[in-house]
Amino acid sequence: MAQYELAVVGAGPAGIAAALTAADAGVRVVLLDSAPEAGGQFYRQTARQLHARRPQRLYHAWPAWERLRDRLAAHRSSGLITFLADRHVWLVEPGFAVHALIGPEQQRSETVTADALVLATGGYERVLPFPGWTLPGVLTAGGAQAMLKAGLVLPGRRAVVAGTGPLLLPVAAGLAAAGADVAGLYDSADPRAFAKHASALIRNPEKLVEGAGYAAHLARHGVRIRFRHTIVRAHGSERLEAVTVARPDGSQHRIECDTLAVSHGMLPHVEIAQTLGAALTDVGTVAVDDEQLTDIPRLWAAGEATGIGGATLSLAEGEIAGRSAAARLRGTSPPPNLKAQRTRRRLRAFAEVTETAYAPPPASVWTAHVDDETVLCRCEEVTAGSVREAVSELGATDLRTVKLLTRAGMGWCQGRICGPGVAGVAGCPQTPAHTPFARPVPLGVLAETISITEGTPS
Amino acid sequence: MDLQSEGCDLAIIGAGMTGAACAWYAARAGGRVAVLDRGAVAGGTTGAGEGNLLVSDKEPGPELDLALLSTRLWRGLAEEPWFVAASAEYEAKGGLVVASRPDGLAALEAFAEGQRRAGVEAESVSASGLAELEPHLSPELAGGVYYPQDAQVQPARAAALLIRDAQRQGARLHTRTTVTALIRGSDGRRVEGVVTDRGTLRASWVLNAAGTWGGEIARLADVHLPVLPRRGFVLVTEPLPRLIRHKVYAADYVADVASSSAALQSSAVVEGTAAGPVLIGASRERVGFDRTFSLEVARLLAKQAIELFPALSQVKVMRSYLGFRPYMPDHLPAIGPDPRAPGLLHACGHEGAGIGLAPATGHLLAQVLTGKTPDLDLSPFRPERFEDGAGA
Amino acid sequence: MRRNPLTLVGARPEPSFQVTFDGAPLDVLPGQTIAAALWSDGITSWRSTRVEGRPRGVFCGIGVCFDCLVTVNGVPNQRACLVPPKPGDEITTQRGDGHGAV
Repeated sequence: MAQYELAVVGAGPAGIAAALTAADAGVRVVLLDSAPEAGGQFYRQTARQLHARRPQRLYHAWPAWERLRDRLAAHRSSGLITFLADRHVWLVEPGFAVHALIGPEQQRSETVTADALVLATGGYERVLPFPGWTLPGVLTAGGAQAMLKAGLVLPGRRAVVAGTGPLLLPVAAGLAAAGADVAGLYDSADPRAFAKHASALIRNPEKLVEGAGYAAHLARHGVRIRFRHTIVRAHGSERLEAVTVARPDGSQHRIECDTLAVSHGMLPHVEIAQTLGAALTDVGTVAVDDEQLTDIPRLWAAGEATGIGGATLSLAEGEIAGRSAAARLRGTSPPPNLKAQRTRRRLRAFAEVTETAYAPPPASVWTAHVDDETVLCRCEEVTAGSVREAVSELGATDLRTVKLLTRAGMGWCQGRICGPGVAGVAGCPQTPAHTPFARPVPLGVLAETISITEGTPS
Repeated sequence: MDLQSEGCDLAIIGAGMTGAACAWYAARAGGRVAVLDRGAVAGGTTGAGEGNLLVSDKEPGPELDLALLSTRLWRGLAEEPWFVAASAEYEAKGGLVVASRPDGLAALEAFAEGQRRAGVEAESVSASGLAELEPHLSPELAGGVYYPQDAQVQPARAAALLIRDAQRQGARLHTRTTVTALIRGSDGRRVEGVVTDRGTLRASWVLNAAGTWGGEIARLADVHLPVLPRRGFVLVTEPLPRLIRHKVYAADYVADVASSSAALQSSAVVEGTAAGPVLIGASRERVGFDRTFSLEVARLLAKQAIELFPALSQVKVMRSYLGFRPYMPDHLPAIGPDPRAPGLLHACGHEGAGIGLAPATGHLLAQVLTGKTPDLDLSPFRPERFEDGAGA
Repeated sequence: MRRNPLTLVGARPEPSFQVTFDGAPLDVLPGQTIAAALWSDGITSWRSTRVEGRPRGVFCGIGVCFDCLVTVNGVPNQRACLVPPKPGDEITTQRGDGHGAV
């Protein structure tokens, strides 16, 4: 007999919403997350021991978070939600047994069982490679934001924020507010693409307000914002010293800086879903129906893993998943939840617009800046030259073969970071790797794990 | 539409290691060769193995003879300048088979004695000798046998390099090209080429090197080749310094290979690679083409690896992959012309030994194709043997 | 005073403790990760890669990329962006696979 009725993997907006909604209906939930606190990336908490008295300065949705946090605390006190922090889920077996490594040390594993599962595994940043991107000082925009929120630290003194996507504005604003000299924000997107979809913006006025707020903030700090500008190269010998940015007319200029916060959008974490056999969409997200159900019985998914779309959409999807799980566990159909469904519809439409407007430059354009010496696979240090050779001379026609022939994607991150870059340079579709461990697992832990089919979990 | 308007002498179906080796030897012998694959180079089992080039796990008989020839040929290939320059992680590291108990050791010794008589170099190793050869090996083992002729290579890369060199000799490669039918002669039996989704290709000979899918290709010629998949998982660790110097495996591995059981067979095979990660095998199951991950198998492989190398307990596994070995009922591959379908040759069903046996397979077939007497008697490998009831 | 992250959110951190980095003392605020503590000291790389020996530090900042690997008390391959140090920890630059020569 399973220990819990519902397990929720991931305590970001989607996971928290799913857990709270299910618990509201009386379901016994276990909520797991790898961080010490709930919140995921969007509501990433400043470490408790830093005693931030004005945390809202780093968050634009602080009151919303406070409400979620308080509801979570109440359900934890009542015992309906068990929150397991510091749990790094490395595998979920069908039925479901959730195996998680404990703590930052990750030397021991724990297994929890549940009748049903919600995957709210979130997303991570896509960065398309460019010469010099492996220099210390070059990091993801979200990474700069995460380090700032959690540890109250800045990556350096003078930052350039570049790439494309809705994340660049809040990251630049956060860095500027925290005292960094932000030399500029360079987004490769074309603002005219937004004008084409003005109706979507009108239907989502809060997004306009949010964007305008960040832009005004940056203006106050004297941070220039430039569109249709592309990051072309990072310079430095042992660390970042400057970047080169290309203007729309193709001319380039060099900006001295010690930090480059770069992002080209987000990618979903789908490994756990894949290993369970859940179908993915043709854009690589977990496929779900109107109730956020996957094609695996009693397996739901919500949030960025089902399609990148931001925190508010994740909350709506999580709520729908939680409501559906609660009903289905009791053998009934979920009651209609018009508000959440309307929110989901509206924000999904907006996400599609965003996706189009903020689409990174096509591979033919960005790969032109990638010379043969540029490292594509950061973990295994595989260069663009090796990847090109695998395609042109060694008969590689897909990402798997490129990986076999060059080792690109075989390192610690298992291709998560280099997938888009290698696929772009190789000219093949980006197919998700199938690892099947979501985290590296010590052999000793693997040897001791008991499969769900053998009875009592360890 | 023609793939190659001039046709070719030999059309090879399958760009895995076997197809690659056959292409290389045939091209070297002056043949006009075309290699076709529905996917990429090394898209099948070649991309899912460990790169075992072994004589140690084979009992005296035709397969061992093939392996002895092949392992010599591998050494030659590994010295070719084009191979050396491009690095396929070839290492003539030798294999060490270990037994945990005295009775197992005695059986291993007896087995090795038979192998020695067949031409295999096999050196007995005492328990203390084991520690010298492999300092991190468990001190609880009874002893073992060291096989200096065993070696290791990175299979996908080696296959790609062989094909590239064959292309330099004029061979053509057609990836993403699926063979849908064979061109038959007017007698309805003779095979005269292939029909693909990208056009036809006339060929004097067609070679079935489709590995685990060899039975499907045979069916296109209306002949039966009983190749079945035998699933195997491999665990891959984080990159490590050279902890493990040889290919090390437990003596019961040989029994597993020889077993006809469909149920899970598993015994430890552990080795380091030039790139750093340690590879841990080896499991065998007949579960069709089921690609579902099995935690049960992974657990067993981990446990068995730690029994051999306790220090591996702290080492992290980064990923696991699976492959389908092409298994034949008598554990011997099908190599040679098919009398049931003149013009068709087979080179498939090498089970877990395909990487190691590929050069010999290619070399022998090239001899057949050029009218020479093959260096080994190919009758144990005749593709039609399952119909005359004598293959066992 | 120029704004900094601590003043922005009105932080009142608990007293800092010491660890060492490559033998030199490093102050850590309780709650910070190793990466955050190193950044506070202006250090942005603490590892050299296996093949080319190139420096690496934080890249994704959330534990996905494994670029920020560092050795703590002799145990290699710790993600500096995730691991909070403890007083007296000995943090060292990681070279290559982190396991040293054998």
